[in-house]
Amino acid sequence: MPELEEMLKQQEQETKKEIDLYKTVYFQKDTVPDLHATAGMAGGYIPKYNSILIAHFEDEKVQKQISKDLDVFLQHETQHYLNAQKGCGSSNPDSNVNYEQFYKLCMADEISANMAELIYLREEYIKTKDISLFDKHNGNFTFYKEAIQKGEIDPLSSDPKKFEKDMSLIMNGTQKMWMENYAPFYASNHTLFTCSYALNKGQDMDANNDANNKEYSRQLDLMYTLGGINFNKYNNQDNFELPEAAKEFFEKESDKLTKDELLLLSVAKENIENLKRSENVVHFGWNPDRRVSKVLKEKVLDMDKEIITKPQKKIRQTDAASDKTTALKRLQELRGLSSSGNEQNIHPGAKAISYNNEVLRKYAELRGR
Amino acid sequence: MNENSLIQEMDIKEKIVFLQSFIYLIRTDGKIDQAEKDLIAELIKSYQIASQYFAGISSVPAKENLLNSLKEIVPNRVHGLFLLKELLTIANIDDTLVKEEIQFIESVAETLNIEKEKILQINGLILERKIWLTKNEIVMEYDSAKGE
Repeated sequence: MPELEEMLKQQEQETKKEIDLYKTVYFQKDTVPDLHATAGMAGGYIPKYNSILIAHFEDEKVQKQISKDLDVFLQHETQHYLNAQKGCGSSNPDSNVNYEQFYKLCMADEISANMAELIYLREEYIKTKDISLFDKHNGNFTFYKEAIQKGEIDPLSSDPKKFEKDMSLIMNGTQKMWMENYAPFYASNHTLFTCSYALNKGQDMDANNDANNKEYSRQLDLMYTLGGINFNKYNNQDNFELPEAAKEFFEKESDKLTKDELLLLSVAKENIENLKRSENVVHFGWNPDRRVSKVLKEKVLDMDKEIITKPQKKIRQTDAASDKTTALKRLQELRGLSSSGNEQNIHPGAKAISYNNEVLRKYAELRGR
Repeated sequence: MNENSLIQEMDIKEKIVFLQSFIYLIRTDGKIDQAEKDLIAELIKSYQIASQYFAGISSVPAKENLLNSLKEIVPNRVHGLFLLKELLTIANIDDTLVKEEIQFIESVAETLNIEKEKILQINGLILERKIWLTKNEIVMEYDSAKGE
């Protein structure tokens, strides 16, 4: 058995890792002159800092335009963050998949982020009945708006069949829209990501085996599980192919990727430099201490929770909470109070503790009050 | 089991040896700063110890003597486990367990015939609470900087 110190330190490390996971999702705004300063982006998820950066543009016209879609933008970038936390998509250099699958996972990461936008808009629509919401983000979700107008789907309906159609459209409609409008645009970036991944993984990039296929499906399942629904079960994967530019690149380079490590290194090294440049956020004025999380976080739906509004069913009253004594006792336990809830039984020191001393505050918190 | 009632059922001898153990642990880094002094004062208050015993508490014996006292005074396993929980809670306040703290806690456990696995389990409980506190702060939107 290892030494106690070693085991306690391991526990401590695991806890710190888990706590960091909750603490490091934050957003930061920074002022930049115009879209040139951000290469046309409103910001983005920055894996290096595990954070989301939002540009505030000095050009008022640009800022006004960007602000209109800030809510969907935050939802989109937060989904990249969530995918990265699960070890999926473009931010995961340790995946065990072949290069074509890795490229597709990069695309799925983007599709998943777009689906998060649409699910967010769907929830807003259910609350407001304002169908013009789907015009946001360059009208990317016009296909969804039209399906509502044609009566093909109805997010307000209690019909389970319509719900199934709705979910299928969120998956396949978004995938189709993204493949048509964005896949060519993202081709160069995703090729670079894949080259960088190839460099990490070495010689097995062509492998098409059970382990790779299993990992590929697992990541798709994780990234396409949003708001409590696994959308991958609706995924018909039509047209989910590498864009022509990427296909050409890999067809030309695939032999070299496996047979000529030196060439691979030279290609990938150059691409990694490009990657570094694209991740270089110095011009955004990044400052890890400056956080604006609270305000912006309130705007974002947590897609790791069951937030999708489903067809309403009548809920039968249960007598689960009828035993008041048990319920009260459980409430007090969960709140960290004594089982009787009587103030006399609260830790005698707890009441007297004031919080102007950090050590005392932490002690009181850890003890529970 | 209500842990507060454990304190209530302790006699003064046991409370003193508990408090001496806490102080021993707090000063394992060789010093006691103001925040730690405040913590000791708070612990004395929470164990409801009358002022006439303060001098006895502050004259903490050497490690071996302290361990002998624990062996003699701590009446049963449940009280022993509670002592370990208190010690681990205090050791976890600054988010890092140092070697000397671990060594002392391990000695206390050995003295009271409590297994290593139990120390890990108790520490696990405290760490789970830390995670819970972090989640609570985020979900409830408390701003810790403001002391909420």
